Amino acid sequence: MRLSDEGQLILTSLVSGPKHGYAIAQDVESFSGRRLGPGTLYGAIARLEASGHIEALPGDARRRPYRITGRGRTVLGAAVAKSQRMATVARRRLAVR
Amino acid sequence: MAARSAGAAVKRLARLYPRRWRDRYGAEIDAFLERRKVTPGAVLDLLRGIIDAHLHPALASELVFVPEIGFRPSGTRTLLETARTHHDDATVTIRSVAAGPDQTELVIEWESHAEANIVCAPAAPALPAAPKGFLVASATPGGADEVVFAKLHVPKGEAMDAISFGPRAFMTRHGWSTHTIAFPPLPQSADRAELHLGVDGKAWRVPVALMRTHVVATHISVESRRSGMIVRATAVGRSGDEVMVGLELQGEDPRTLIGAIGTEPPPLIPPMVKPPRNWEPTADGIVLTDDRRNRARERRRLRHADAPPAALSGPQLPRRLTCVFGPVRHDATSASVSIPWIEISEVHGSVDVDLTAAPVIAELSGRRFEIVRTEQSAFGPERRKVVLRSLDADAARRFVRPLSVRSKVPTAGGYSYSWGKERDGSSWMETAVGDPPVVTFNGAALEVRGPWELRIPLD
Repeated sequence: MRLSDEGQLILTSLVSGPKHGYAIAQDVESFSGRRLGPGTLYGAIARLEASGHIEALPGDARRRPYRITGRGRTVLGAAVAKSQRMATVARRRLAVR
Repeated sequence: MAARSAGAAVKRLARLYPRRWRDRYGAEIDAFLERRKVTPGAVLDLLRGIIDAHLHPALASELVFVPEIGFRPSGTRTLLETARTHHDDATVTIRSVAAGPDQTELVIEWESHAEANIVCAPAAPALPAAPKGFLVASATPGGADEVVFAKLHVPKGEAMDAISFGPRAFMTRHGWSTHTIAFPPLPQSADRAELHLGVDGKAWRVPVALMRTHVVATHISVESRRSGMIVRATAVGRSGDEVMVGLELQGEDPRTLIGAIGTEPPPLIPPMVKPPRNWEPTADGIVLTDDRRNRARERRRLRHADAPPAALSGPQLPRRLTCVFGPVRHDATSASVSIPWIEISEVHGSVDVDLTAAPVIAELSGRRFEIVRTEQSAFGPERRKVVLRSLDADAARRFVRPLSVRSKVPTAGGYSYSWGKERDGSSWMETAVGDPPVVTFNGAALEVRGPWELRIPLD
């Protein structure tokens, strides 16, 4: 399954530790500037849970924490490597011009 | 005032999510909306989310149920058929597999046919030992500790070392035990693997074939609070005439240590053993009642092996378990799960008792109880069953029995947490007893009465 931009942001947030939905949104906004609304956030969380990239942990139903799974780390790593390759090519071409 | 009514209006808008989405994420979305300022952009975002949820309703519900293991993410693969190998006086059977995105879990059964048992005793923990094995205590008193090696081989791939090795049940004198072994996740394309087990210089190989799990389940979110305890239903699934329900329990005080939860169904025992009389289920268990008031007993219970807390005195993780009920009518559309009582544990305090003095009254941390009698245990000639009666009048958190018992004679054995209830309401504990027959009772099990009622959807 191709990782969406929101999915990548959520996985990046969870790499630093389990968080509930609002904490994920705050963290994403702090490191990316992107403000995720609840509709976008929970749509992405549902997709990541269904594909096994994150897992809900036991806890308060209103502040349920999520954690990234092994598969989630693998997929995020692949997405980041691809982005880095693209960034390297783009930088090189911009420098040539 | 205007901000409060705008927030309330947006929360009402969130009711447009499909029911399964509301069950799964509704409480979280409400909590999120309460913390965010309502803007036109936020309302639009919520509407987009609602439309997306209606177009993809299955996303909020997909789980699967793996027999003997529990609820796992959709896409988890399981055993195509039971796998077994027999040689070197032992039979190793793989009873269940959950090959998920995070780890691969195997439930194995071990039967030793030799006179000297090589069964792993669950009373002693399995500890990681170099190189990549697990140290377990011998089931034979005075026997040497053993190292168990476990690897999972994947065709055209590397062998994986086990991450953890946990006991589930055992019967020493029948040379039988079951365990859960966890490995890293398998490659997504792998539909076969082979388990290699090694103990005491011997090795067993069991090939397994995998398939996609067909028992689909659903996330739900239902909560009941009472007497300082919180109980949640988090998942439900159906297979044949059975209904599986995932539960989480925790105290409102996060340091609460949870013990037993309702009278459990009979524990796992080997097929050749007839259940002793005192293992028959009583009426005080977790019960499911369908929408036509038909009651279904709990047939099996699966415990989740969450990581242990850093300290018994600190915050605890919620307890997770899965209850399997049956028989349930196939056309039931909803049900109520009722938990009658929850036991919480205090680990401090102890008292020594000479069992020859029974009947005798003892006091543990200010709580009085009577050792009514002792009798031969069904678990072996060197063990005694001790019948106890609480004399505690505290109604809110009633002292039921001590948490554990062990012989004062060190070579007789370690702590025993085995217990049960007699038909007259008294409790029994059982332990190895040495000479002299003096035992130490430790800690306290306190009963918090419910019931906690959870209304769950079955469709």
